[in-house]
Amino acid sequence: MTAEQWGAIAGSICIIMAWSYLFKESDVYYFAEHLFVGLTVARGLTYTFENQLKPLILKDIAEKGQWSLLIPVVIGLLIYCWFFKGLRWVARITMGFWIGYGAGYTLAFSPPVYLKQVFDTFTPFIKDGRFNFEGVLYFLVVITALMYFLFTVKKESGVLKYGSMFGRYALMVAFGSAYGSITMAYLSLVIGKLQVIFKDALHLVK
Amino acid sequence: MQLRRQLPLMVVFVTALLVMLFKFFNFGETGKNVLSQMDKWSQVTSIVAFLLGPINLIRLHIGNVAKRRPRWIHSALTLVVIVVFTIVFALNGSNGKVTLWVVNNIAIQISGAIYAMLGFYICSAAYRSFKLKNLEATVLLLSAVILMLAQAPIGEAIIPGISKWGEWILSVPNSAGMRGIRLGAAIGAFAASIRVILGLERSWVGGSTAD
Repeated sequence: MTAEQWGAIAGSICIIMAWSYLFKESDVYYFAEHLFVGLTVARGLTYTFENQLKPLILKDIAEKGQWSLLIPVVIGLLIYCWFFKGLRWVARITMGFWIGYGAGYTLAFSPPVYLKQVFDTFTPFIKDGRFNFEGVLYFLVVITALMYFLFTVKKESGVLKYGSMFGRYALMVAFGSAYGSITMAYLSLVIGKLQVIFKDALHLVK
Repeated sequence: MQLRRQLPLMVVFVTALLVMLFKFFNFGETGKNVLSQMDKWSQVTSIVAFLLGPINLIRLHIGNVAKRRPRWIHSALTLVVIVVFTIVFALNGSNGKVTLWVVNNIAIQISGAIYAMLGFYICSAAYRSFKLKNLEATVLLLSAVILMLAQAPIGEAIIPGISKWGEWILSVPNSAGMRGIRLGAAIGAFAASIRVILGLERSWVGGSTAD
């Protein structure tokens, strides 16, 4: 038997072990779960070390001489102070850097992405000499969906009441279609795993 | 004591301010260099901090084994697998034959199987929750059924042209509804970012959140 065939058999056993949870919580499932966690950690450690940490130290810092990178290295190392009770606050400096960078990045770089979506929502009512039904519906759904999520004002009457009601139905269509798509995606995943068992390992399906 | 809380908040403010300053104002090549350098710094800090998760996990499982907590034997298994396979993967290289065989045939199959298990639960949830209780539920059910039939070969056989309906639902109401939600979430993210930068949101430094 080739390594590929052994792989299909091992994979099939792993799939059955994981799916045993559907029948009952058992040691077989927990074995598969903990095996997966262990393997993922081992893979993550070696992959990050080999492909990210080693090139950073050997190539970027030592070879290219980018000594300024030692500053983020030190900032990153501070996170390990979390393991020392009296020094926990020091780890928050690293977290502060990440949070600050993330918040600044969101405010500085996200508006162009979202503003383009806002501009694209406003489409002309008449397109190529015909009433642009899809464009108008698209605009109405976006606006009324936003109205539905507006919680700071009362929506007891008028445009806001009926707008948010329309938005609710529009969102139901959106959620229903998203649910349908996700269900189909999961089913194709299930079929893929069944193929590993019945096609690759047992050769019952061609 | 005051410094312990203020210093991380100052780091947040200064970092965010630098990113916004060099993005919003034109500093030419210098500005671009500073932004790319900050991006690199962010990546480097994450790379250096890569041991944080594994150390926490190992500590947790060592605790489980030492205190003989329920299912401690599985914790022992996790520890053994981490040690053995870190050595195996390190000796074999991250793209070595043995590494890829283990990852592709064991780790990926288990993760895929656990993820695919949601397929069974999603079907069972649909059976229990999709009832024609009111108009909203009916709209939700109809939309989901049309989409499922549109994406399955049998759908076109039962109702010819249903795949076109599915495409229309996806490209107009679904896309528009999701855009509305995304825009709402973006406004929330902007507000949260401003609160964090101004130090109004400081629960992460162990303080209470200011109103």
